[in-house]
Amino acid sequence: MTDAGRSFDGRSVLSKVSLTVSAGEMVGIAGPNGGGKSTLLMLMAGLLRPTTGRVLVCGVDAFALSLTAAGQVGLVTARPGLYPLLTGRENLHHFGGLFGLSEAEVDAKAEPLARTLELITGFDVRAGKLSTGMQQKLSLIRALLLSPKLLLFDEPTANLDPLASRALYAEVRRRADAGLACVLVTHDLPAAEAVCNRVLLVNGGIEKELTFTEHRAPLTGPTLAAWQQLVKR
Amino acid sequence: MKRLMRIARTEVLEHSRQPWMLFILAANYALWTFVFGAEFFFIDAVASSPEQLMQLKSQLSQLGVQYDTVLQLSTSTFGSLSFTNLPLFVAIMSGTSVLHDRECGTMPFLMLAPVTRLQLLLGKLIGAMAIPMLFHVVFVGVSSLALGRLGVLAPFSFKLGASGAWWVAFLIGAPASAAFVGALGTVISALSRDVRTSMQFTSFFIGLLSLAFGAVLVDGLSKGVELQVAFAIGCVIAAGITLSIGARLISKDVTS
Repeated sequence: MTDAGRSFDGRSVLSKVSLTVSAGEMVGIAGPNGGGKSTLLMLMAGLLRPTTGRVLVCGVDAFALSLTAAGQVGLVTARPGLYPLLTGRENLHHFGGLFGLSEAEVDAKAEPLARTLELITGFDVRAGKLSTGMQQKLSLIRALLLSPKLLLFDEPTANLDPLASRALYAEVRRRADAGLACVLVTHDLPAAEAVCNRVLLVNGGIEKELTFTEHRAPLTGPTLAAWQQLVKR
Repeated sequence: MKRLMRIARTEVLEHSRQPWMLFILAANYALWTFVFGAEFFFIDAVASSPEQLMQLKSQLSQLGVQYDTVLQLSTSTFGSLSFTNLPLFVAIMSGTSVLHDRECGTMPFLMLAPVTRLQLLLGKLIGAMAIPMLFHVVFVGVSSLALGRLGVLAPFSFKLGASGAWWVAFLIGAPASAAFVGALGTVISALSRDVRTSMQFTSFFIGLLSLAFGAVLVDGLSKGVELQVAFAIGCVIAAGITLSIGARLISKDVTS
């Protein structure tokens, strides 16, 4: 991303953003509401065209990549984005199918992820009848079962309980260590510090960059331990 | 092609899980089939007795209506409704198709998938057409063929399954007109930001267009197969152009 900016109706939301996310790197983006974090993510996803500058994914213009249907970018947003009348499994079959996966391949990839995120029981229930948290887990599985080069997360744990959030962060970190480039937009600063290599503070542009070399479990402490006991009971 | 059919299949699956929509579709077809069926069977029964037929003609005449005119108008209205319902229902379903994705939040995920905008719109259109097409084939096919066998309707049987032009209109013309109207609906749904806007456009423009197409198809039945084929080809081309333009229009900033 080089000198990228985006305006809406003449009002600049982001300007002069230059950023490189390498394979195997996890970058956190934090900042105040309206600071342009989600816009930045949408520019990376190729779902918004930059007003100025350019955004490349794997060397190709991100917006063109989106239009030419390369399917290189995975996305998890705060809204789960599922068809309410389809079951969780059918939703995954649909989106997996669009990426060329057979239903058997989707099932084989999704079921271990569902176990990790404790969603096995929700697989064959219509998505509209699942709780928001469960829907969000499905959305995460959808992003993880595909094999994009860049994974983008916009508040992925907004509706998750602490244990599921921790499982998610661990899974994403594992994927990043395996070579995926990940970008995480979040207000959860302790989690971002725990799992990301870098955290950028964004407010109309990149204001500050912090680097973290050691990764740890993002959620710890006596409250979580008590929570775990509660769930076990 | 697989991706296109996947989109269409999901659309059909979602529609098939809306029991009220299926009921309304079935009730609509059943209602007018019953109304016209009752009228035609009644007249056919009356016509089997010359005395009763004379009496009916006389009573109609006193009302200022000619017996032949009643049959001609009724068969034309029945035929027109037969061909209007398909584009109308396809338009209603397609008019919310892409909008439904915006409301469910699935649009960004579709846009990121290796699916072109044209594939997306075409898949949505095919999905919107599938269930109304099934109702069209079953209800219009069965009712027209059954009513066309009535002796009293013999002079008008070319409007009820007894002509090549009718078969072309039934199997190609009406679906082609539905494809065009549905393409308009799909594009409107892709460009609308809310259900109200989409339904206002769909109900007004596309409703009128569906009525006009139904009338044109029936009116053309007496003019031969060639006209029906030309009409169908014209509609398919118009549908293709509409979808192509629509695909370009939704290519900009899909989430903004």
